[in-house]
Amino acid sequence: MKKHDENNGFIFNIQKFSIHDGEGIRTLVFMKGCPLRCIWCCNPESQSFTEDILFVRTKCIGCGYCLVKCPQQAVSPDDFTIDRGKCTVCGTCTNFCYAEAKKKVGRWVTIRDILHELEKDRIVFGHSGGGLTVGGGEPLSQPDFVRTLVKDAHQLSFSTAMETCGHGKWTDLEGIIENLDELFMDLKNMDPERHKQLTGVDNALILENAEKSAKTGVKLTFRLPLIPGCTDDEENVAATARFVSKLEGNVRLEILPYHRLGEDKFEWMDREYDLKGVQVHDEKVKRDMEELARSCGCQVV
Amino acid sequence: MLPERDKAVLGEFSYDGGNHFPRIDKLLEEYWTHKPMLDIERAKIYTRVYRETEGERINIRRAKAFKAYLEEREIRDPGLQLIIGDTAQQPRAGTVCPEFHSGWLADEIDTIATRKQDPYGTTPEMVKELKEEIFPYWEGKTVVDHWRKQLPEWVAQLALKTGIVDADIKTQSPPGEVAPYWAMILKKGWGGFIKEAEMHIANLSDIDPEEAEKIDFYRGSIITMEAMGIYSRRVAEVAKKAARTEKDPKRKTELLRMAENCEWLATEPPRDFWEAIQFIWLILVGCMAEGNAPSYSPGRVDQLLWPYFEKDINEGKMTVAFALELIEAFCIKTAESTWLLSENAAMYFAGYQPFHTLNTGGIDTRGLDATNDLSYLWITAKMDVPLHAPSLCVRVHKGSPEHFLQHIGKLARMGLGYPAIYNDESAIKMMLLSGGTLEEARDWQIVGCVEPFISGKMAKWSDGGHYNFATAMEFALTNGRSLMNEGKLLGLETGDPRKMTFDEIKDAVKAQMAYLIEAISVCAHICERLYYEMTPFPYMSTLLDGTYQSGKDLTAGGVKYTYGPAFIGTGIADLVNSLSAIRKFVYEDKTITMDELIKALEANFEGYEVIHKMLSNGTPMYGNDIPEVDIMAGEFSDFAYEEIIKHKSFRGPHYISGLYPVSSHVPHGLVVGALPYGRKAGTPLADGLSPKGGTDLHGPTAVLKSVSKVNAEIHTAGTLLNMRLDPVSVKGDLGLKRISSLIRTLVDLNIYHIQFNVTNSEILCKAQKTPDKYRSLIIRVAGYSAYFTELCKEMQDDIIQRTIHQA
Repeated sequence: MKKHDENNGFIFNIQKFSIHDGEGIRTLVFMKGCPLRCIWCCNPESQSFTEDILFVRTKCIGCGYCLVKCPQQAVSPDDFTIDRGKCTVCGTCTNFCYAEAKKKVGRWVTIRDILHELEKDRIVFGHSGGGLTVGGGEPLSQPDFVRTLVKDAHQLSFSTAMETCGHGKWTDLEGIIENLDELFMDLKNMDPERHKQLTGVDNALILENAEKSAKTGVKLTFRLPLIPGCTDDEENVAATARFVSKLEGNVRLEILPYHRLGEDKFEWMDREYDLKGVQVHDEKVKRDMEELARSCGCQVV
Repeated sequence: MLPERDKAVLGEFSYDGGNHFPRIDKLLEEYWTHKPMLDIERAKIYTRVYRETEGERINIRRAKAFKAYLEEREIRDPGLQLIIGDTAQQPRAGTVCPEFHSGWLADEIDTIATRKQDPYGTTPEMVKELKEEIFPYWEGKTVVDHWRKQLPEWVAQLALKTGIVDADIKTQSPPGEVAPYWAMILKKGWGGFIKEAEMHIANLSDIDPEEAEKIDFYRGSIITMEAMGIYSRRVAEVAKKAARTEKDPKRKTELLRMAENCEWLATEPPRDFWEAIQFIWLILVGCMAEGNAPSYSPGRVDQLLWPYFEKDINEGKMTVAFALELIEAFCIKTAESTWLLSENAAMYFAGYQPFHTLNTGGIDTRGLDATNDLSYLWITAKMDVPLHAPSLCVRVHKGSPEHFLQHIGKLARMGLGYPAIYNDESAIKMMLLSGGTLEEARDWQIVGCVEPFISGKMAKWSDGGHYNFATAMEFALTNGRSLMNEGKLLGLETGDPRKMTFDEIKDAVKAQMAYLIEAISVCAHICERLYYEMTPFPYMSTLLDGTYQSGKDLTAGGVKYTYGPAFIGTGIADLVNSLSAIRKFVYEDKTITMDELIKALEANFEGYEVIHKMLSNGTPMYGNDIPEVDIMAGEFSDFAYEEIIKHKSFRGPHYISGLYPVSSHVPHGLVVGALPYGRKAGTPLADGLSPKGGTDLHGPTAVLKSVSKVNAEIHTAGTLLNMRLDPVSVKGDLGLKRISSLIRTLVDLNIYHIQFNVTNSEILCKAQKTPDKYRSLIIRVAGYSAYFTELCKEMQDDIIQRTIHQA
C-alpha cells in the first residue's frame, strides 16, 4: 500500500470558494484519515486512512452494472446495497456507475497537484486575503506532507491555515505552525472521560498541544462544536472558555452550531448515525453560549 | 469615501437605503395597481396622419405624425409625482405603433390579454377600433410585410419557419437601442436644435438633389423639436391646473414649480437639478412616442447631473435628501414604460422590460476616477425603489474606491439582480475597436442590456438577430438535418460524422456556424434597408452626434459611429460541453461509438439512460476551470466573431458580434435536439457566456476563470455572465468585502460584465407556487431584471435549476 510522505498525501476533497475557514476566499484541502471517531462527524468518509465507497441511493437508476461487474459478488441483487463485509473497496462498481450513485472516496495527490490548484485561484486570494486551508480528516496524521505543503505554499506567497483536532505529535504540529498564518483547533469536551466516549480518545494530548500552540503566538482560533447532549452543557462551555482565557498568545474561541449534514453521509457508508433525530439548536442557544463564554473572560468570535 | 456634509445640506436620509419618503411609498403603492394594458392612442393618430400625408416624403410624414401625437395625446394629472409627462395613456401600458406592430398584432389581438408571457389587457372598444380602422390601413404596409416578402427562400426556412435563427425582432417593433447625446442636448435645449437646423437649411439649395434630401432631414427635425416644445407647455398647463385646486400649500408650490420647469424647458436648456432630471424624462417621453422601443438610455446620470447637483447643493437650493427623492420619483416614471412585443418575442425579452439603462461610476474622459455623490445616490435609490426598471449599471475599474464597491455590494445582496457590473478596461477597449477616440471610449455607457456604446455618438442596433452555437453542433452531427423538424435539411451537408476525426468534427461545426451567420446577415441588411426606405426617425436622429453634420437620418447612416447590427450568439457552453463529451467518450476513452452517440441523440436518450448518465456526469464541462475545455469556448467565439465581421451591413462597414442572449436561450433551446453532453431536446440552452446551469461545480472563482478564456473584447456588442450567490456568503460586513473582492477579481481577469443573483431556490419555488405573495420578487433573466412571478413557468424552472454557489 502507498504511504504518505513529504510529497504524497491522501485526500478526499478539494473545495474552492470556502469562506468559513480563515480570512477571505479560500481553497480547502481535506486530508483523509483521522485518529478520532466523533459521533457527530460531518465527514465520516474522512475517517479511514484508506479508500471508501459511498452509495447514494437516491441517485441509483437501477442499471445493474455494479451487480454484474463486482468481482466479490458483494452487491445485493435486490437493491444494489453493498455487503460491506465482502467488499474489498476495489472500486470496480464505481467505474461503471455513470449515475454517480456509487462513488469512491480518497485519492493520492502530490504537493505539485495542490500548488497547481492554488495557483488557479491566486487572483481571487489576492483581493480577499484568502489562500490555502488544510483540513480533514486530520492533517497531523500526514505531518510530512502537510508540513511541506504549507511551507511551499508560504514560499509562493499564499496565505496558509490549518484546521486540526489537535491529536498528534507536538513536534509535527510545531513544524507546521512555522509556516501557518492561522490555526484552528477543536476543543470538543473538557472532561477527559466524556471526550473519550464521544471521540474515542481522551483529551490530554489535545490540551497539551493547545497550550504549546498558543505559546508560539500563531493566530489561534479554538472551535467548540455545540453538539446537543454532547458538548452543549453550560459546564462544558464555561470550562472551555476558562481554559482558553488562561492561555497566553493570540487566541480566541468560536462556537460552531450543530448541523446535520453528516447524517446522509453515514447512510451512504451504511453506518449508523448515533445522533439520529437530534434537533438543531436555534440561533439563540448559540448566542447565549457565546455570552456565557465571554463572561468567563474569553474572547469569542 | 463620501465628502462630509452638514446635516442641513444632507437632509434626512440614509445612503444604505430603507428610506421611506412618504411620497415615494405612495407612488410605489399606486404603481402596483396598474395592470399592463394596450394603448392605441398613438395608433389612431399616426394612422390618421399617415392617411393625410400620403405622397409626402416619409421622414416628413413621420415628423408630422409625431407632432400630431404630442399635440393631441392625453396628459395625466401629475398626482403625487415630481416628474411629469407620460410615455403612455396609463402606467405600464404598451403603446401600439401600427407601422411596426400591426403585422403581428392583427394576428394576436384576441390572445394578447391572455397569453402566458407579458400579457396586455384590452377593451372591446379598443379591439374593435384596431380591427376596423387601424389594421386594414396597414395591411401590407408594415416593415415586417415587406421583409417577409423580400427574404430569399433558404433564409426564410431558417428565420421564418423554424426559428433556428431569429432575426425578426427589428421588424416587429421599432429599434430603440441608442444613447441620446445627453451632453449636447442638455446644453442646447430643443430651441437650440431648431436654430441650428434653420441655419443648415439656409445654407442648402433644393436645386441639388442631395441637398434637397438634407433640407427635408432638417425640416423633419424642426417639426419634432417644435412638437416637444408644445408637449412641454401642455404638461406645464396640466400641472398649473392641478395647482389651482390643490389645498396643501406645499404641494401647490411643488406643482407650480413643476409647471415652471416644463414651461422653461419648452425652448431652453435646464438650469438646475430638478429641471435637468425633468428634461431627461421629457426626452425619453419623446423617444417612446416616436417608437415604442427598448433601450433609450439615460446614460451616465451621475456625471451628466453632477454640475446641476453640485451647484444646487452648494447654493443651498436643495438638500441631498430631496435630490434622492427626485431620483426615486424619476425611477418610478421609467418603470411606467413597457416595450410591446409579440408573443414569440416576449419569450426572448421576458418581463415588460423597457431597458432604460442608467450608468454610474467609472473613469472620466481623462482616465481619472469619476465616482461622486450621485454615483452612490442612484444606487441608494434602487434600494428604495426595487422595481424592475430602470436598469442600473455600475462601471468599475482598478481605482474604484472600496467604499463604492461595498455600496454596490449592499444593493447586489438585496437579491434584485441589480446592479449589473461592468469593467471599464474591457469596455474601453471595445469602444476603441469600434472606432472611438480614447476620450470618447472612456465616456462609454451601457445601452439596453449589456451593450457598450460611446455616449450619444453611436448607432448600431445592438440586437440584429440571434443564433445559437448548439444548432451548429447538431447540424454537424446530423449532416445538416434538424432533429426538431422531422430531420429536414436546414443546414449544410458537412458529411457523415461517423467517418470524421475530432478536428474534422470541429471544422464541420464551424462550417455550420458560418452558414447560420450568413443567413442572419441577409435578414439584417434587408431589414436595415427597409428602415431607411420606410421608417426614418427624425426625432431620435436629432438627438445623436453626427446627424446634423451629415444631414442624414440615423437609418441612413448619419450617426458619427455606425457599426452593426449585432448578431447575438447563445449557448456557447452547450457547444463546448458537447465537443468535450465527444472528445472524451468517442475519441479518447472510446466508451461509445459515434454511431451509438448519434442514435442516443436521435432518441433523445430514451432507452439510453446509462449513456445519458455517463455523458451528463462524466463530461468535463465548461465553467470548472478546465483549460482544455474552456479553450474551446475561446476558439469558437473567436470564429463567430471573424465570420460576423466579414459581412458588410447596409449602413455601416460590417456587422458586430455579441454573446448576450437576453432570454433567448429558452426559445432557442426549443429548436435544438438532444446534445452529446446529456442535455435533452427542447430544454433551455446556457445563457451568454455563463456555464450551463448545474454543471459548474467548483464555485464562482472557477466560473470566472473559465469565462475569462473567451476573448470578450472583440464581441463589441457585449457579453454576459450571471452568478448566483447564496445569501449566507454575502451576509454582514464580511459579505460586502467578499462581493468587493469578487468584483476586483473580475477586473483583474478582464471580464467585461457580471451580475450577482442573491436568492435561494427555496424562495423561488415558493414564489412559483404562490405568486401573489412574491409579486415584487425580482430575478435576473440574463442581462436584465424581471419580476419572477411574471415569467412563464419554463423560465422560472430554468432560473431555479441554475447552480447555487453555496459557500
